Amino acid sequence: MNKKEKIDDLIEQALISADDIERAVVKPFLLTRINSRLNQSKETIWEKASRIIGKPSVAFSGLAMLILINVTVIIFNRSQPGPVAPEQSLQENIDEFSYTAVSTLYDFENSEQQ
Amino acid sequence: MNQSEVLVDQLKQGNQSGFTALVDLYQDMVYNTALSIVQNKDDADDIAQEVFVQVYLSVNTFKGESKLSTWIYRITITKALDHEKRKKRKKRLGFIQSLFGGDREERQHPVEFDHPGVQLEKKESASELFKALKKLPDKQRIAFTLQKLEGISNHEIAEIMNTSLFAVESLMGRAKINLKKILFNYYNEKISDR
Repeated sequence: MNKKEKIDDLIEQALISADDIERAVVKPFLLTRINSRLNQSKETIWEKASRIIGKPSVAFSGLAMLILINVTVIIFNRSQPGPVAPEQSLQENIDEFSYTAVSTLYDFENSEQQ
Repeated sequence: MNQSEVLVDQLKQGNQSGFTALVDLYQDMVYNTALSIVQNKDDADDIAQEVFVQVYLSVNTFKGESKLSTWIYRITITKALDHEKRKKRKKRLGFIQSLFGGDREERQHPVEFDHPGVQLEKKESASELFKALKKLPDKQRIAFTLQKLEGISNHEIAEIMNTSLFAVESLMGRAKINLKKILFNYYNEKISDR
């Protein structure tokens, strides 16, 4: 048998070695181990919420949304006219700042003398 | 209503005895498929646990469009391939660590897989076959593993892999050609070394 034939024979043996393979036996107590894993994997509603919020896509979308809302509010407020200051009439100014007006206790006491 | 439909119904209602029956029925299938893919008993056991946890948690998403076994096969294959990817990442990290003086033992001497179901006189040949299988592209490896080691028909493999029958036959053909090439190189080197 030459080298090529020998190799071909070995390849054939390797390929058929899997033909009548028997089933491997599972380690005992698989169900117990699965149940233990299931108990570990049960998370509270807060853990679930923090896991969802903690996802980069959710976190970045939330942040982008917050920035967008802020920018919209700022732009909207700028486009609105600000509160108009009430115009004071000349007479009101005179009444308010006139030195003839009674504004001190002393003036009240001496108002009759004027 | 067949047995698997009853099991799914029980599971959807949160019936624990239904879950126990499901694990009993499919544990052998899940473990053996995972074992053939990852070629490590402890990892296969770990994957089997992950698969059943996933089945329990997502049974409500199972609409019954495919067979229950097909759905479980899909989960098993996905979990096994994910597990391999994680392991490869860890190995790469280990390699980087070894450059800085870490342990090189495992990298230089990868563990040889000894399938417990192989007959004693075929152990050596089977070991070479499993080593060669690891070098195949994922799809070819899955198709070959399901057909040769799990004994599933090409039609069912097509359902599991969500592809056509023709594609499975093509994958099997390419898998055999590639395996022959890998094994040829291996045996050629081995005989030349003697």
